[in-house]
Amino acid sequence: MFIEVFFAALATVSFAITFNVRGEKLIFSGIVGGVSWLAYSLSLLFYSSVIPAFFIASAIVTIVSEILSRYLKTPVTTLLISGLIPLVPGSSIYYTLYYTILKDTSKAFSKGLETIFILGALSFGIVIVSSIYRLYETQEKSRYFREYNKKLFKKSKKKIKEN
Amino acid sequence: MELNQILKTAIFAGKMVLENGGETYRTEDTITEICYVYGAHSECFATLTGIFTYAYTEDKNNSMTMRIKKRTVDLEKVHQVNDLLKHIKDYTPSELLVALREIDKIPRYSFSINLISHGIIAASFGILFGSSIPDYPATFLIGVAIYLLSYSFSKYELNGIFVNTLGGALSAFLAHFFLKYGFLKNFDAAIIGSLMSLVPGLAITNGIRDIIAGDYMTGMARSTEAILIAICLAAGTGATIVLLGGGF
Repeated sequence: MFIEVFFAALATVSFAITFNVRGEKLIFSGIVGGVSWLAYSLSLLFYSSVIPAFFIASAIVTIVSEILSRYLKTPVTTLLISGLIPLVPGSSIYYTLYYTILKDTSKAFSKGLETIFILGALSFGIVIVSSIYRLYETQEKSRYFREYNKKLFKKSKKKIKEN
Repeated sequence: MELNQILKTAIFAGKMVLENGGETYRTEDTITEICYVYGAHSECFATLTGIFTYAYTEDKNNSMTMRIKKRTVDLEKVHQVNDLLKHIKDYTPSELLVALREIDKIPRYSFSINLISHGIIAASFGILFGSSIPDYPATFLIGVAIYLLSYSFSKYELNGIFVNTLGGALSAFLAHFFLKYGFLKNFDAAIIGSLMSLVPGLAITNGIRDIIAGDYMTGMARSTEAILIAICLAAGTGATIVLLGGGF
């Protein structure tokens, strides 16, 4: 499994190079890619189906890349796109069309359905986590503004008293 | 301030974000924000293939359309534009336009680095999809060959359909060849791994994200593009496997 994690990180770094990511972000995108494959293979131990594993992995990737992107001061996309690369269901898409060409309709249909479910799980993981993160962020901001406004209010009161 | 200049700058920034792999909502936010900072109200509608913006101040109004023809993923440019917009108040619209043009000139990695990284992508994904370490060099070579193909055809500005069909065919052909002479053991994993740089899985994921976020138009466009590419790849590989007399 750790060999696979290493190769997932390597693949992510190479993909980030083709996406023209530069500097220290390259290393961090590799870390995110490794984390995504690790989360996926760890959650496969607990679930028999791949779909919850994909959901959990994409949620964890989104959390990690939201936090790291704040630290690196870069848009989330930079890390998220690279980090999702190992999870992308390339093999399911390939097999769906492969079985379609083979005229093996039932296998093609089940693979296609699996692909759609995987894609849904991935995007739901991203959307839910990033929405929760936005909620948290706006709350932080509004709290900051409230305190800032209170300070201003106190200052103006003092000024009025001094006058 | 001149409304024309503001609009020009804003839409150029939006174009840079959209062309280089930013999301549509990020494009719309960028344009609206630039217009707002310079004192103009704006309505912006961005899809995958074009941006439509209308901006107005109290006594003037103007609109502008920008067609997006080529799309690549160049995250460094998205990052730089995002960085620039944090310090937008230090610039006038024309200075901002100059700075954006400067960002547009940022080069990509050199050809040889790209070549090697495409090889590594193919080989590493081959391992993730179930092949073993002895297959690594052969899959690496297939990945390099596919990059050479798509690079040499990128000059002619052909549509993606032709190049992707050819890429699928090439990967299947090479994998068959390597299998025959004993450099490969796992045929399927080698093909999937080497096609990973062409497979549109990321585009489909982003398309579904767009649909969930409410950008139905962009989502459908992205998904359609991705499905078309996938069909082309499958057609290329399938036809080659049939012609070489395997499987069917």
